[in-house]
Amino acid sequence: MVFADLPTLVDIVFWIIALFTVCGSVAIISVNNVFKSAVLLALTMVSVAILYFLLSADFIGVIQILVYVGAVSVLIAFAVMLVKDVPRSNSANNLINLSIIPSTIFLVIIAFAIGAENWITKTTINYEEPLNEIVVSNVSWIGELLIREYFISFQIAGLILLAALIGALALLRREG
Amino acid sequence: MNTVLDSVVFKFIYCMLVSSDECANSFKIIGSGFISEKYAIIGFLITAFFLIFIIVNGALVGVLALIWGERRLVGRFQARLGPNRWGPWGIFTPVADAIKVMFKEDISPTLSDKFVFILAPILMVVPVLMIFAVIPFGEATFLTDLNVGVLFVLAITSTNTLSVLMAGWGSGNRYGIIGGLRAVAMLLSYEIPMALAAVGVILMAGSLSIIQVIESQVIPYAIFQPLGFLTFLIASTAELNRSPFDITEAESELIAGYMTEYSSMKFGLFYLGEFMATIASSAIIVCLFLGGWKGPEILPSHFWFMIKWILMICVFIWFRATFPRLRVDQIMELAWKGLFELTLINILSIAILMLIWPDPSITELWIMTGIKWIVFFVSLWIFGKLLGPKPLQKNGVARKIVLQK
Repeated sequence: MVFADLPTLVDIVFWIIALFTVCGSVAIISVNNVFKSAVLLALTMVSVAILYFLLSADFIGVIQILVYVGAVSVLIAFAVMLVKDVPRSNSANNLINLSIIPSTIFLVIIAFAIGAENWITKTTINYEEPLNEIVVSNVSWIGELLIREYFISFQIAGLILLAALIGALALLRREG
Repeated sequence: MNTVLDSVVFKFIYCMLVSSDECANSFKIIGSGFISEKYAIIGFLITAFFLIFIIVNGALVGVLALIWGERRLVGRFQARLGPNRWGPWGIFTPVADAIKVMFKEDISPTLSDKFVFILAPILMVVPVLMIFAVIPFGEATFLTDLNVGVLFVLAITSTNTLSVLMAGWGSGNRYGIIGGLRAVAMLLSYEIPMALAAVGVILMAGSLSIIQVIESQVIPYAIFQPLGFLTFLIASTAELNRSPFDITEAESELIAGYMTEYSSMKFGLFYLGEFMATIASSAIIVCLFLGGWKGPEILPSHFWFMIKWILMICVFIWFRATFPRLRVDQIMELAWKGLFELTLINILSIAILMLIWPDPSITELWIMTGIKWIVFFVSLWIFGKLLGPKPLQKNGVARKIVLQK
């Protein structure tokens, strides 16, 4: 069963999710309540994960949900509760005029990065060429890369995390 | 990779709607031809909608059955009759409950944050429904076979932490916040042993797809790796907020924890989400550890799945009826000092055994199983010594309780 119309369906889903992602991101910084921003951050992360699924990067999409929605957003929401006045704590500060400079620089860098890449689009893709087998089963591929090619950087990342963990424990330890 | 298109049920409904050559050739059904092949996408959408409709409503009916079964069984465990008034053996009691919940007044407190307050119960139910998408209910009966299925389940179950925290904070109630904070501490800690116990299964199966995990089980993994099964069972009981791990809603301490302020259908949604999560995670345990739809060929595969599923749900009910609730610090101690290490021992022993026998035959599998059981008893004995209740002092005087200044 081959559906010729399936790409248009994927397009529709993509535009809905993309709209949701952009609106969610804008809402995160414009909402006054920090806890609400944390919740919106989690929802935006879910929509980013759906974008990964649409690109058939299942593994990265699932890890996005597992790490960012399941752990990071929850910890952010947890930390936010320590803020004194949660409902009005996200208001803009005095640096709003100054912030134009870094955001412009960031926008220029992103624009150059997008322009420099040779993107595969619907018009340039070659449907006759079979997909690379490695790319299709990406979990074992990522595992192989981490163990073989990027072994040292992987281990160093683990070491840094361990150091952070021990550092946190050392800070919390009671004297005497 | 299998997709929904390979599922028997999907093919059947699809071929009833659309007439295509493939149906006639491979499936021996000549489609009724309501829809011509040119608009096959409409047939696809209708079929997909129909399947999702069946699954969602099946889950809802399953929840009603579970509420009835749980109340009856817990009644028997406690030497009572349980609900027996409405209908034969009281089977209509959950229906009456549902109607009652719907007609209650919907109160939202003044101090609550409306946006978070309303969103929390919805976020509780939706992820649980998504788990049903990857469960194979029998041979070639599933919605989808993700090639990261096991990770998908772990990721989706982890999102309910956020919903509990939102409910606790959003209702603007102290009991709610305490329940929410307890929930975050507990759920985050128990996710780790749960994921690590699943790693043992993934190592043996060599795949993250749930269907391939089932197909790789010559011996069910519950027998093959008892340590992994035990830790996964305990961790998923904690993830479900069920007794003995129900500190988030401990009624004798916190009224109802994070759902204290909820009423009417919002409370109903929490109730629904929790019971549905019990059903879903029983199905996940059946898939990962009890061999899914595999069984002797006396019965069709769907029956085997149902039997194992109901047995697993009964185990959860049995847990709830027999074990007393653990204290907050005991729960954290169990997760970090007990289950975490046990899962690491499990992974290590499987890795060593797989190095010795890379491609095991049936006899070698049974030898591995024997070694795993020895590891199971030895490690449980050691951890029981380390974490269990401290013995009384030799002179017969109980340990003094030293109050900290």
